[in-house]
Order: sequence, then C-alpha cells, then structure tokens
Amino acid sequence: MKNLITLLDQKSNVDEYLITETKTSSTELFFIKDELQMNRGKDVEHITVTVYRNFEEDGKKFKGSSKTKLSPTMTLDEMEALIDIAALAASFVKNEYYSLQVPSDGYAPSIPSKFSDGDVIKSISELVKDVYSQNQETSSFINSVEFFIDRIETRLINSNGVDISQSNFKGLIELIIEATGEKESIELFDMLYFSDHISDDIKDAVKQSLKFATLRANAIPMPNVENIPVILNGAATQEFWDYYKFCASGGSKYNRLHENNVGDNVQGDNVQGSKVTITLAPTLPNSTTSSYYDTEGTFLKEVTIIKDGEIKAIVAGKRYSDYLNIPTTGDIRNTVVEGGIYSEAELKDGPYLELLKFSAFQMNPMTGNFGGEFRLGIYFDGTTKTPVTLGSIAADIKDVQENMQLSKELVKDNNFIGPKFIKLYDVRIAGN
Amino acid sequence: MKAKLSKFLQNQKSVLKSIIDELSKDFKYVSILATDTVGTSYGVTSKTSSANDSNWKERGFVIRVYNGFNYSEYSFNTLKDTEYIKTRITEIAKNDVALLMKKGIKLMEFPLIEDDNLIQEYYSDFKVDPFTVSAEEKLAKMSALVQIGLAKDERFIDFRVSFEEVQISKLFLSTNKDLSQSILYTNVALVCIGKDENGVKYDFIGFSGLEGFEIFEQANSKIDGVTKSVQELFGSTHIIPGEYEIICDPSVSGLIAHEAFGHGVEMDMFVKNRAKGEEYINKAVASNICNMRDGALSEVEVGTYLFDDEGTLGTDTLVIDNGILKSGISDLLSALKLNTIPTGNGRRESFERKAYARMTNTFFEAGNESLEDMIKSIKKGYILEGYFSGMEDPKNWGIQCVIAKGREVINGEFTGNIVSPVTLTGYVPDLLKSIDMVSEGPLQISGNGACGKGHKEWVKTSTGGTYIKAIGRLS
Repeated sequence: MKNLITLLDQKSNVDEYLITETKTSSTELFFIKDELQMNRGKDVEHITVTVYRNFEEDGKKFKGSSKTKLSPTMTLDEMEALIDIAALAASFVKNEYYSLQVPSDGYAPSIPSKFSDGDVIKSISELVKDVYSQNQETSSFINSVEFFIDRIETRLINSNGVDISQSNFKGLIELIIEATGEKESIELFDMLYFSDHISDDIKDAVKQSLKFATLRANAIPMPNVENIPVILNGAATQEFWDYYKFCASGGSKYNRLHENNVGDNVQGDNVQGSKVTITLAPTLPNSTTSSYYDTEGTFLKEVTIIKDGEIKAIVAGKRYSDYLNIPTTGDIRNTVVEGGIYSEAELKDGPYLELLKFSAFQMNPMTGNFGGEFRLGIYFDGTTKTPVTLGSIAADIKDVQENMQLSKELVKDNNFIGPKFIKLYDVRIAGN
Repeated sequence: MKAKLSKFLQNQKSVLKSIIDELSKDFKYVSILATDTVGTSYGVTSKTSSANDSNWKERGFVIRVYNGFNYSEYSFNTLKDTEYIKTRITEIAKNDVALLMKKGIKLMEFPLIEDDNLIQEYYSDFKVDPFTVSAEEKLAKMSALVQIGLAKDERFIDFRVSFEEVQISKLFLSTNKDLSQSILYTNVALVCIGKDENGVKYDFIGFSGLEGFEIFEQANSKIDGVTKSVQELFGSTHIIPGEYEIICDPSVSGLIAHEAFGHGVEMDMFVKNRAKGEEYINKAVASNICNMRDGALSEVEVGTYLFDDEGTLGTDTLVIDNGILKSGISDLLSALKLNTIPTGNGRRESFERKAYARMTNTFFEAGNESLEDMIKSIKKGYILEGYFSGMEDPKNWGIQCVIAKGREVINGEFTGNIVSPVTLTGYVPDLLKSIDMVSEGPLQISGNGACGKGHKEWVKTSTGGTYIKAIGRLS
C-alpha cells in the first residue's frame, strides 16, 4: 500500500486519488435438509483506485474520474500501467467540479460483534445449532440453508489525507422452509442478514418462517375482492420507504428526477392517516451496513430526512452536496421510520388483506408504483381469517399516502427499524 | 478477430498445476478454476459521464477437493505463498470438516468426480476490438446518442447511454483436464426518462452479443423505439386487474422462459426437492406448439462458453419439446447426486462464489404464425412490451413478471390505449398451456442484465424468443 501511495503521489497525470482496500475472509456452509453438502473458505484482497483529473473549459472547472481494480498479483509496474489507462480515460470524463473529502476528527469506535471473539468455524457451527434447534415442527421443516460469515477489513485513503480503517462482520443465512399441505408441498424463502450473533433473533426468525410456511401450505388462491384495505407486514414494509428516500436524494435532484427542496411536503396536502418521519442512522446494533464513514470518507452523523411528511434534509455524498451547495450527509445505510399511533388491533379492526410474503415486492422510487405477487396473505372478511396465496397487488404511492396508517408496533430487521404494519386503502388487488 | 487468453493465466499455469500435483497426494480429486476478466463500463447522461472498471472484472482462483465425503472449496486471489494456499484448503477440507462432525453435523455423501482426460480451448470471434478504441471516441459516440435522444421531446429530462466491454479468460485444470477459453462480449443500454404533470415515466432498451465495438452500429436505429415508448407512457393508465388474451414481445417471452421454466429446471433444485419440474419430466407442461432451449451452445450470446465453472463442456439442452418437459439443466455435483449427465450449467458469480446450476442462453423457439394474424385473433387483450424484472418460484411454479407496458387490442385492432406498469402473475403450466400461437422468426435474444438465484449469485444470461400468444393474469 505504501508503494502504491508513493506511486500515485508522484504521477503527474493523476491530480487526486481515492484508494479503497478490502480484505475479506469468509466461512461458508451449505446444507440440504440437515446434511452438509459443501464447506468453503475464502481469503481475498481487493484494491480499487479512483483517479481524478481536474480541468477547465471556458473558465469553468470540471472533474473527470475513472475507477480501476488492482489485483494483489500485480507488480507495481503493472499497477502503474492500469493507473495510466484510468488517468487517460478520466481526462475524457467531464463532470462538474467537486472536491474530495477531507479528514475528520469524528469519533469512530469499533463496531461490536461476538464473531470477533474466536474461531469463525466455531461461531458458524453455533449458528447451525440455532437454526436447526427450531426444526421441530411436523407440518413444516428446513429444506436447505446456506450460512455465510464474512470478516471485512476496509482501509480508505485519499489524496487529501483521509486515512480510515475499520473492520466489520457480515452474516447471511439463506433459509428455505418446506411445508406439506393437502394438495402439494410449498416453500418459503428468507434472507437473514446480521453482523452479530444474537441467538434468540435467529431462532425467532426461523420459528416465524416455519409458521408462515405452514400457513402457506394451507392457503387458498386469493379470491376476487373489492374495496378492502391492504396491510403490509414483513420485508415489504422496508422496501416501501425507498420512495421517500428517493424524494430526499441529492443525486436524484441533481439529475432532475425530482425538484424537492428542504421544507417541501412530499406526502400530500390532506394527510388523514400517519405522517411520515424518516431518520438515517450511521450505526444500528446488529446491522451489516453500520459504518461511521461512507465510501468517500465522509464522517456520518444521524440525520432526519423527512419529518411529518416534510423534507428536512437532502441526502447527498460529497459530490452531489457540492453540486447542490448543501451540507454533506454522506451515504447513510440504516433507516429508522417512526411508528404511527395505531395499534395492531386497531389496524385489524374490520375486513383486511394482510400480506406476509411476496415473491418480490417492488417499489419503483422514480414513479411511485409498487406491488407484486404475494405468496402468503391473511384475508379477513370480517368474521373469518383465511390464509391466501396466488394474488397480487398494485398501486401508486401518491394515490395512497394521505390515508396510510402506520402501526405503533415496530420491527427491527438488520439495517431497518420501522412500523411493523402499514395499512393502505385503494390498492388494486388481483385475485382468482 | 479472436479473443485472446490472458497472459497472466498462461504464465501461472505451471504454478497451478504444481499445486494440483501436491494436493493430489492428499486428496482423490483436485481442480482449480482460474479467472482473469477485464472490462470497462462507460456511461453518459445529460449531465454526467463515467468510465470505470466493469463490475465483472476479477482475477482469482478457486480450488475444489474431495474431502472423503463430499467437496470443499477455497477461493483466493494471490499466489505469493503457495504453501499457505495448500495449508488453507487442507484446513478447510480436513480440520473444519472434522470439527463440524464433532459438533454433530452430518455430511451429505457425494461420489468421486470422474476426471476424464480432456484438453480443449475456445476463443470467441468479434470484428473490432473495443479495448483498442479510445475512451474519448466511446464517450463522444455515446454523448452524440444522448443528444439525439434528448432532442426527441421536450418532456424528456434525461437520456442515458451505457456501454460495457468485458473479456473473460478462464482456465480449468485438474489432474486430467486442461481447458482454456477467452470470450469477449459487449452490451449497450439506452434509457429514456421523461416527466409530465403525472410524474416520471421511463423505458429502456438493451442489446448485447459476443461482439466487439461493432455493436454500436445498432445504437442509432434503437433510439426511436425507446423514445416513442416513453411518449406513449405519458398517456398511460392503470390496467383493470383480470385475465386477458396477451401477446408477449420477444423480451417478455424470454422473461417467461427464464422465470417460468429456466429456474424451475435448474437441477440443484431437484437435489433439494425444491423444483416441481422433477415430477413432470416426460409430461406435458405447455401447449404442443411450445419448444424451449437452454445451453451455452444453444445460441451465440452472453451465456456462451466452451466449459462451465466446474470444467464440464457446455451443451444445447432441449428443455421443452412440443410441450413435453424433456430435461433439466445441471451442474456437476447435482448430476453426480442424481446419477444424470451434467449439461455444463455449473456457473459461479465469480471465483469467490460457489457453483450452482444456472441458465445460459434461454429462449422459446420460433413458430409459424405471423404477428399480424396473432393480433387479429385477439378479442380483448394486450400486447406486452418490455420488462423491468421477474421472480421465479420453482417449487410451486408461480410467476411474477413486471412489464413496462401493455398495448390494448380489441377485436384485432389497436385502440391506442396504453397501460403501465403491468404485472403478469399466475401458475406457470396454466400460462404455458394457454399458448396457442407462436410467431415466426427471427429469434430475438439479448443479455443486457444479470440473473440471480434467489436474491444473490448474479451471472450473465441471455433470454428471448419470438412473439407468443397466451392467456395471462394481469394487474
């Protein structure tokens, strides 16, 4: 690294630079039913160098950049050859001028994780134990599971003197649950992300998946219904908020995809339901995206971007904050959405369709269209609750946001804290 | 011109072979996949430009050994200390496995891979080496396209052009195998974004191939298609959910082939009992005019290769033959477990990831109908054009395709009404058995994006076909 920095400092065709070095060690286990099919290990080092060229045309300043990946197999001469190619490419890339980040004296303690305590192979075997300890149901069972624990050490250096090192853990369990119904067997799919070993969280997540799979195995095709509210529960309640984060995005504003400013109301003028409040947090416990710095070296601080439906801050990294002449928030990757005033019981008073599992819920933040096919829902007609499947929903958030109701009960899932239930009216439901 | 194998890989071959020789003293099967992929992604919008290394760029190695029960792997990307590499794979295959067994974990047993003698090489063809064209020329060409696109309508707020050039070099070495390949592909995407009083509308078109810089020759002729599409979307309305007669354009046909059947016949899913397709081999799953293929050799597109990431030669698999499900697509380990012949579909996202059964070039074969006759036959329905995403459900054969727009047809005539976006959902056999017309060729296949397995493990695939007519549930 020292030689690479010296090389970049001496290059006349490189005006500025950013180096990102990551060293990742991984342990991976792959199970079918309760048998280990394969185990894997990984030790890799990646070095990415972004070179910048500053230039002027007609009295206006511009900046070009190009990012190149260097391999640890390369000699310094080979690295220099790639840097020269990137520097040449950067001289033809023409963007408005912006400055690189400067060093910060922000306090960045290490992010705690039990995975740092010992052998990762022992830790991962404990995860296996947690997951399979719940495999006691008769009506549903674990079909297959993949376990990943990555230890990632990152160093970020730029030509302005930024030099940041941090390490973190990224855990993932891909869980497939199978259940047998009267007609056929079904499966449900879950991705559990974590950075710490919280045994009870893992067990609870597996237990819930087993329960949902049993429900889906006994679900009937969604009947055609009209004018009933939809309650989102589960992963969809996280992706749903992408629309509002887009509304407060500096990059999107610069690219003219919206024209919102601080103080603008993005939820409509006649909100009858819950008002939206969203805060971005650099760190949350047990989150794979917790970090005190973003990838440009900006020291991150908690920021409320929307309060009661009104934009309080435009979110922007160094480049777009320079363009828009606004404070740099950096790229903060944990989201906290404030709960509403409604209890679960209040939201579920009267007929509803509660959607627990989608094949892939999608929120298009640019257009506001959202929806998808659901694999498990609970249809309550006012008297009976019935598990349903094979239906889909679609709506435009701009048509439903004024009346949406948020639960006071919150859910925490990896890098998200927010209302466990979102109740929506006037959503198009396709049944059979 | 021919793509050239990376000199780095050529130079490291003897080192890799010596690692295999050493490890073969302790393990009955040892192989190494070595990759050296280079590439650049260029982007131009109305306000910005970029030129960065492609996300597909990688240089590294993965060793696979037989640990006595099944297989263990180690991924790494430096050869500075070959002793350490041998120590690590031995720790993983022996110590880690022993510790896991001690913890009560059972091992699934696999047969030993038969390591056949095989020495082959493949280098893809192209006309103009994109790596010899300057960044200046590429960015200038792309900027010109942006200006042409933007000038088409004052409601357009951006027109984006991206271009990617990727050259893959791979070696697969084992005691008896010595395979090498170099493949060059390019892809271009045009994205048009417009805004009116009803909000933002956008659409894109992508095209790809085992081609060089000559791919740009197609770009100008594609601009009108994407800009007109966005102009139509300005006046679009929401569809009334329900069942309709549909004609899928080749991109949507390809998405259905990929999501509906491709994922459902990946045979690692058979091993896990996760695919309904296993029960339907040699049974009807589609109408008898329906034929579908997948394979590295089925077409020449971004899913084409000589050998997969487990050292199995690529093939051409007829998945559906006149409506009958004939075959799945398989990686090597699943074929060993199922006692079937591997089809050369074992693919990794990169040298850092596990190999799974994955699609390559997947498409419905052409039929005999004219598109005009197909449209005339519709009483009330939609032509579905372009797609945003799809999601598979191999166990239960559910399907979800998010489609850019539907063009309304009533009594064989276009009404001028456009609905957007449209989600096509339903039970796959119901959809495929309802196919009553398939248009004549030529096949239209492209592979601009990437395919995931579940929500990860991205690989390049191509999809397509011709126009198909069916009954679909739209919302």
